[in-house]
Amino acid sequence: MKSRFQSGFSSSDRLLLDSLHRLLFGKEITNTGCSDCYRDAYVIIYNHLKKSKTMPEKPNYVLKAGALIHPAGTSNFYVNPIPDEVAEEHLSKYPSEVNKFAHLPTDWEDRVAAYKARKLAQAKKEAEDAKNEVPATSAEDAEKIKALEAQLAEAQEAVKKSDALRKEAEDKVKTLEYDKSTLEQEIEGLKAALEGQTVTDGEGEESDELAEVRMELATTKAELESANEEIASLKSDNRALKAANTRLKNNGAKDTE
Amino acid sequence: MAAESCDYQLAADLAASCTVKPVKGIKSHGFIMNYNDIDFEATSRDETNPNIVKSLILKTGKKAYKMYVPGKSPYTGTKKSLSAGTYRNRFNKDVSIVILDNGPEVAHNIIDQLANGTFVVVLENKFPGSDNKNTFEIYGLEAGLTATAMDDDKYSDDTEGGWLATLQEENAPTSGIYFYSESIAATRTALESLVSGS
Repeated sequence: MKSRFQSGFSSSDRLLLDSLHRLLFGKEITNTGCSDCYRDAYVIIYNHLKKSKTMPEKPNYVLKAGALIHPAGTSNFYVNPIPDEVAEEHLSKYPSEVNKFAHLPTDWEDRVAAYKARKLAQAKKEAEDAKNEVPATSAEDAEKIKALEAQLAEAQEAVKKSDALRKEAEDKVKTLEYDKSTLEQEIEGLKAALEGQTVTDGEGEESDELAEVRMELATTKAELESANEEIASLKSDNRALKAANTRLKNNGAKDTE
Repeated sequence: MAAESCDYQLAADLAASCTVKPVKGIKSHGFIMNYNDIDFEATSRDETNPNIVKSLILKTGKKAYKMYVPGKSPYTGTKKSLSAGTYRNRFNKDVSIVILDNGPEVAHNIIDQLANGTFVVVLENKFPGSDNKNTFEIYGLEAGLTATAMDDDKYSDDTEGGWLATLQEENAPTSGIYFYSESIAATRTALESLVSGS
């Protein structure tokens, strides 16, 4: 061919240059209308082969002109050169479209069957892995879960404490109420005694015993008032604790969800 | 064979798009291939609309050729018209090509072949339609395009001394066949691969 570089290439030379250009660069010689175009292509191909020192290998699968392969679920369209994997995948799905191929390996059916088996094994393995695998969480998610768990434990602890306090307050209220009723009875008794004494002594001076009883009554009254105040304060505390307890329980339920 | 009657019934409104304005004419670049190089077994049409060709495939070792006609109105004279028949009407499709280059190679590789061969041409309409399916139109896919007139007027201002060839597909059963393969980008890729050959 080198000898015809100056005089002009024959049609078979041009065909060879066309196919080599396609194999090496995956596209046609840019312009074939001028007399120097094939000479330029010859130089480009010659330099490329000299540099790479290997002749391009003919691909296993060659599509006919105009044939287009579009793997489902992708935005890729394949024309020549087409990777073996893509061709085999296409043929495994649409074996009738074998007429889109200009050249196939003689054992293409075996290759397609092997491809199918490979894909099936891969799918099985993936399914098994997915079954065994704990749902993957990101580091951020894991941290969030940890923080939420800590919050939940804290809330549960607070609920326990609050329950204990409430119980204690309730017990105290009961004791105080009992004391109150006892004191009230005592007051009633003393009042009755005082009235009896007054009737007996008439309007004369109060005896020492009466003075003592009066003092005792005053003291008991003061005690009763103090107990009442304490009961009121404890009841208010108890209401606050109950409200806090409900809030904590609700938060705990949300965290668990 | 069972007797079958064909009912030719309209199936859509005769409407015009108000959003996509039609543009007359054809773009400068086109593709031409030999009718006998087409692999009709591998070529497929849209299932719902047979006027759309989804894949246009050539036989092993065959390739298409690019056409380029410069100017504001390239391929002037390209048209389709009704051809009245005794029982059924058909369509004549004309494609006019100007070959501005002239010389022994052109005469041998193009003109002599155009004069006697049967061809298929793909031209790009300036009006792609609202869904781009109008972009590429195929002429000659059914009956094939053959030359009806070829002139080389050395003093022609239009052809600048080059060839003006008119190819006609006579009595084609369908009014228009369009090439559209999934998307306009995929269609262009498929057309480029026609030129690359196999």
